[in-house]
Formats: sequence, structure tokens, C-alpha cells
Amino acid sequence: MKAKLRIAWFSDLPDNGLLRTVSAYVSSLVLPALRERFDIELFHNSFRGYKDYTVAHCLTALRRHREKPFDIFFYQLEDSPYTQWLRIHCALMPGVQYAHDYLFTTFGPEPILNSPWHSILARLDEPVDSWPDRFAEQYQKGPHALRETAYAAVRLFSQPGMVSECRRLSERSVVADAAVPTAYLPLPVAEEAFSPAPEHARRVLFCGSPWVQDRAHKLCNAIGRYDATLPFVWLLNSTERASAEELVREHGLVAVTFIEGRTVCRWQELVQGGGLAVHTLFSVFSQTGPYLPVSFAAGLPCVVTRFGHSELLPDSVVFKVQAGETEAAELAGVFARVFDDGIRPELNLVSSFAKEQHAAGLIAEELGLIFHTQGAAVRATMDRWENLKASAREALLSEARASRALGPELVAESELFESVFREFGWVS
Amino acid sequence: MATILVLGVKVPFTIGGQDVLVRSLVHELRERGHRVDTVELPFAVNPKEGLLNQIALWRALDLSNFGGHDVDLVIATKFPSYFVKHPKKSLWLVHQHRAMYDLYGGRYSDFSDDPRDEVLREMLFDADQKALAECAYISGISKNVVERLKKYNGVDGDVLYPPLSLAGQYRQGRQDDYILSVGRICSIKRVDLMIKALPIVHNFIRLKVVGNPDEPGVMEYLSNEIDKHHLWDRVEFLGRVSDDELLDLYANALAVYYAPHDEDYGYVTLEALASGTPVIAGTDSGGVLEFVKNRENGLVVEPNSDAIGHAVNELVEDKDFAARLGTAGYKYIEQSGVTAGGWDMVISGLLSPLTAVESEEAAVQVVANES
Repeated sequence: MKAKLRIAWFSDLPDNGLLRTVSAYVSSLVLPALRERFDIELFHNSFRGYKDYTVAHCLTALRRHREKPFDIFFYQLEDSPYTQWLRIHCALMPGVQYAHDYLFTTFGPEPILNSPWHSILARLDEPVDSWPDRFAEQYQKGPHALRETAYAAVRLFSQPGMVSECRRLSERSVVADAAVPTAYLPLPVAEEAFSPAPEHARRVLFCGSPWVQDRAHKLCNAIGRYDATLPFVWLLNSTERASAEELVREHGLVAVTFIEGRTVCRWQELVQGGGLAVHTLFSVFSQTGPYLPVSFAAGLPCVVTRFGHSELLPDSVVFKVQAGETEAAELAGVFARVFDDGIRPELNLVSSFAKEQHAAGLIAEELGLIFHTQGAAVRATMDRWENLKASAREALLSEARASRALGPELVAESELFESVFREFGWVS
Repeated sequence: MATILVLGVKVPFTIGGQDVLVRSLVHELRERGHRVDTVELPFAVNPKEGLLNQIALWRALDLSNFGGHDVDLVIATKFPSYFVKHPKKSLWLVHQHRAMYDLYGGRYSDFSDDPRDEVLREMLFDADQKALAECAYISGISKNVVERLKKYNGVDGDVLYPPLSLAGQYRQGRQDDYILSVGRICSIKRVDLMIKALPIVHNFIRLKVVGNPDEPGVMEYLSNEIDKHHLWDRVEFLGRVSDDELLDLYANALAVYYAPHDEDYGYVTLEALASGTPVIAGTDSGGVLEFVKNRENGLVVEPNSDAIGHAVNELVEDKDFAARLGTAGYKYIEQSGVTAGGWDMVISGLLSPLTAVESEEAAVQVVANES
């Protein structure tokens, strides 16, 4: 029997059941199916476990790889403080990347800001004698994940727009001829989410922040225009509550329910009660995440902003509004159509659209297929990287010897160092 | 009486907690009749590749015999002193090379994604495992340090809190209108957060900073912050001060600010509490939180200037509350085992490899007598 492919799975993970990130959500949904077919070890920057999976600290991954090699390193990247740690690890061994953001609102910690990745990757293509100067200041171009995706042997994105954006901007790659397989892999949605909600619940559901990019100010304005007594359920984080209350007061809304603790699972429960789901977003940063597909799965009528990924959604399953001056009026118009005229996308159409795109089993199947079909190519890139590392080892030892500040006449002193280097196996 | 060498790692031109620890340990061992001396080598974090040479330097030392006296035990304290070769090696770990462990990947680590750095990290880790396995006894200066050893290296150790070097001399004083910061001035100690908090703190409150900078550019950065917020009259850098001055500064401060990122232990915390002065610490201050309990003997707040500023104001506006925290801190120290009496436990642990030898020898003697 053929041995299962070994996968080193780098991702944020649910923390005591809490899904803080899209990555944790994706892991929780696809791992159960994938573990049957692959030998998976999870790596995280904490020392906590996850269910009955093998979880180890991320710093042990390459040692583990030396002891029992992995076939594929898999990384989930996104713009979250909980996944910042991954940004250095994805550059330590090339692998399959699944990115939920292509822009990072924070530029990241010092080791990434000062990464000499351009020069390092240049060594792969055009070997040169000297390694980059360690003290040279490095400048990263903008918040695009150019560095991260340059280390990918396969690039997957959970939003189709990122695929073309990455193809357009990428300059260097760890892959030999820079022909990096790049694809859109939709976000998974739990099977239990595909139970259509009761029709015609008269309420608005919203899970955005009160900040300008999520258009809460326009939404509150729209509800005020349409009917201030319209039930409005707002799922938010506790830190956003005060600002949200201020907005609601400003627009005189009187039937608002705040629910604190924004997680996909909470949203999944909420949408089961029906209503109109608002997923407005007007920003190149951030994303509607799995919240929108979860609303689709429940068959809810949804409103999105005519911008970015949302713009590409079929008009038959979603209402679209233009961000800007007319936005509140357009939103109020949607309320009137849905709640007064009974016009809404057909429930089963919306739900089956979601199933076709986002069913967790399907996404796990796709990812498994990618591991199998791309395994050999990924392995070749990993070998290429290992060769570079061997050369890095020689460079490091040369630098260490040079930094001793001993003249060539001090052979005995040098031997003193070298004997220790041999003892620790640093040189043979 | 045993012949013992205490191994210190010296960063020239700075004085930190480790220097105090080594000096105090040597003193206490001598007080107990042992023949003790210190071996120190200079340490520099840059260039990184030089760390391999620094390990080699320690490794190459022959510390087995001096002047006809066998060295019975060496006590290592800090990376890379524990790489020394000796048949009886005790470890009282101040900290490992944190840039490759808990600080890795963050702003306080200088290891980048350069493959040379990754190779270096792997080499250092393997060497750490080897050196740690050679230790006859392993301990750390705090729960935090010992837990890191367990998590990153899979090595168990005892917690031996270093007793206060000036135990018995701390005094309680007034609540003057200043906040005190003590320690090396470098980014991980986060003195900058306190400076940035001052604009929202009552304007009669000043900040006194004791300690010297040990990071390039850090003073320029702090000076810029002071200029930016017009704080010239409110921040005073005192440099290194005498023990007596320090005792006074602790005693008369309204509060001590000590909110480093994941500190190993934090002498400063204990010195403040022993002086009946409340401590303002960060929620991520590591070993400091083994002693500072929020609203019991100090304030533990989010590590940002807003939260720190509000914490200071709370103490300024309610000096009775500040006094209550201070009194509780003083009592806590009295009961904590970090006063002078705590040395017996520390020394008993560190010298246990010798005791084990004596026990073995005694057992051999008994068997010999019986036969």
C-alpha cells in the first residue's frame, strides 16, 4: 500500500473552540476529511493542542522534517495578529500557501521588514559568490504579500481577485521557471450550515465593524430612512460596542440587538433565524470572509458592495449597492424590495450556489487533489531550497571564521575553535 | 568546603540583573565557607555568526584545576556560559538566547528569514540540547524561564528565585510626585511606553529613569519622543546610581513602572515591592507577573501608553489606594522567600551535584565497611 503523503500544516487553530481567524475556521472544516487521506502534523506558535491532532510548536517543524520528512508544507496566511508568526515560517521552507488576504494592514515585525528575500531568491536563479550584506537595510514594497507568495511552490487564494493581483505583481519566485501554479480555492462552509432559513423574517443581520470600511454608518442611515423600528441584529466584538452604540443613537434606531463575540459559528446560528444579511465592504484590505458564504448557505437574501470580490458574484443570488453618496438610499431600496415587495433571490438557488462553491467536503477534496497532483513539483522546489540552505551553511561558517579576527598565523587558536565546531557537528 | 567557579556572561559597559546575581551568589557561597571565584567572558549579540565562536570559547576553557586545586563544581548562569565542559555542572539559568526561542519571528529578535539565520538557529538549538544534557543540575531564576526550557527544549528544571541583593536594607518612604523606571534601557524594556504615556498623566508627575542604554539608537529614539511631547522638564535620566540612592528612589516613588516584554524575572519588581512601592506592569511582562498581582500590590495593564497613563493617574488621584498596594507588596515580599533567607534553598539546589557525590561516596564506604 502506498504511504500517505506527509503534510506539515501551519495555521492558526481554534482556541478552546473559538475561531479567531479565517485560517482556524478553514482548518476546523477541512482537516477532518483530509486526515483520513494524509499524514498531517499541525504546527502552531503556541504550545496548546487541538482535539486529538498531533500539534507541535512551529520552531520544531524543520527538525521534525529532518527526522521524518514531510512531502508538503502547507501555510494559511491572512492579515491577523494571530497569524503574523506564519509570515517568517513560510519563508523557511517553500510549500503550498492558502492566502485569505493579499494585503497586510500591518507591515509586520522587524525580521520581515528587514528580510533580504529579493537577494536570497536571486541566488536561486543566478548563483553568485557572496551572500547579501547582513547589515544592509531592506525595503519592502508596500503591503502586498510579495515576499510571502514568492516563497510559495503553489499559491491558492480564497478570493478570485487576489489570483490576478498576485499574478500581476509577482516578480520573483522560489519555483524554478517562476511558473507558479496559482488558483482560487473558495472558503469552505460547514455542512450543517446548508439548512435554509425560514423565509421572510423581517430583520437585518450585520456582522461588520462600526468602522468606515464596513459601511455601518451607511447601513444605520439606511435603516433610519426606511424604518427606524426595523429589527436590526448586529454581531460585533466587545471593543466595537461603544462606537456601534453611538452610530445607532445618531440615526435614532430603536430595535437594535447587539450580540458580542463575532465568530463564524455565532453568525451561522444567527442566520438560521432568517432575515436580510448585509455584507457591505469598501476596502482593499480585509474581506467578507466566510460570513457571506454562510449567509448564502442559509439561503438568505444578501446585500454586498459593488466592489472587489463581491462585484463578481452573480446578480441572481445577491443585491449589490454602490459605495458612496447613493449607498444609504440604495440600501433602503433593498429593504423595501425584500420586506415590502417580497422580492428576493430564490432561496434554493442561493443555497445551491453556496453548496456548489463552498461545501467543506468539496473544498477538502480539492485541496487533497492539489496536494496529490502538485506533490512532485513541490518536492522539487523543496530540494532546490535545501541546496540553497547547504550553501547558506557554508557561507555562515565562513562568516563565523572571518569574525574571529585572528590572523592567518594563529593556526593553533583557530584549531581551538574548529575542534569545538567539529564536536558539535557544525563541520565534518 | 568545595571549590566552585561561578560563570558569568559580561556585556561590557553595562550592568544588569545577571551581574547582580553572580556577585550575590559568589558572596553567599563564600559566606558559607566555600572557595569561590568568578569566570566571565565578554558577550556580544552581534555579529550573529559570532555566537558560534562565543560558544567555542566557553567550550574550549579548561576549568578543571587551578593552582593544584580541583574545581569541584561550576555554576553556569546564562547563554553561552553553560557550554563550558566540566564533569560537575550546575545551571542556574538567567535566560537562553531568546532571539531564537520565544522572541523568534517578532520585533525583539534579530533572526530573519535569511537561510543563514535558519541554519544558525538549527546549529545553536542542537548545541543547546547537548550542553543542557550535560548539566548535573538544572534550575532557572523564575517559573517563566523554567517553563521556556520545558517548552522549547523538553528539559525539566527547578525554580530558584534569586533573593534580593540588598535584602534588609529596603525602606519605605514618601509618595513623591514621580514614577521610577529602573533597568537597562533597551527596546524590550519598553521605557518608551511610559514616556509616551506622560502627556495624559497629571502634569506635575515626573519620570525618573535609572540605568544605562545598551542598544544602539535607543536614547535618540527616547529623546525624540521627549521632544515631540515637550517633556523636557518631566523626564530625568539618572544613569547608574549608588545602592543608597537607589534605595531612596524606590522608597519615595509614587510607583515603579516596570513593563518589559516577557521578562525573565525582574529584580526591579521585587525591589519595588520590598520598598512598599506599587508596580505598574504589562499583561505580557512574563516573570514580573509571578509577583505583581493586579490591584493587590500593583497594576497590570495592557502594554500601551494609554493604559499605562491611566494606571498612573489612578494612583495619583487615589494615593490611599497606592499606599494600600504598596503595603500589600511589602508584606508579600516578606512571605515570598526572596529575602536573605532564600539563599539557603538556592545554594542547596545549585550544590546538589556535590551532595549527590558525597552520598554516593558514603554509600560506597558503607558497603566497603560491611564487606
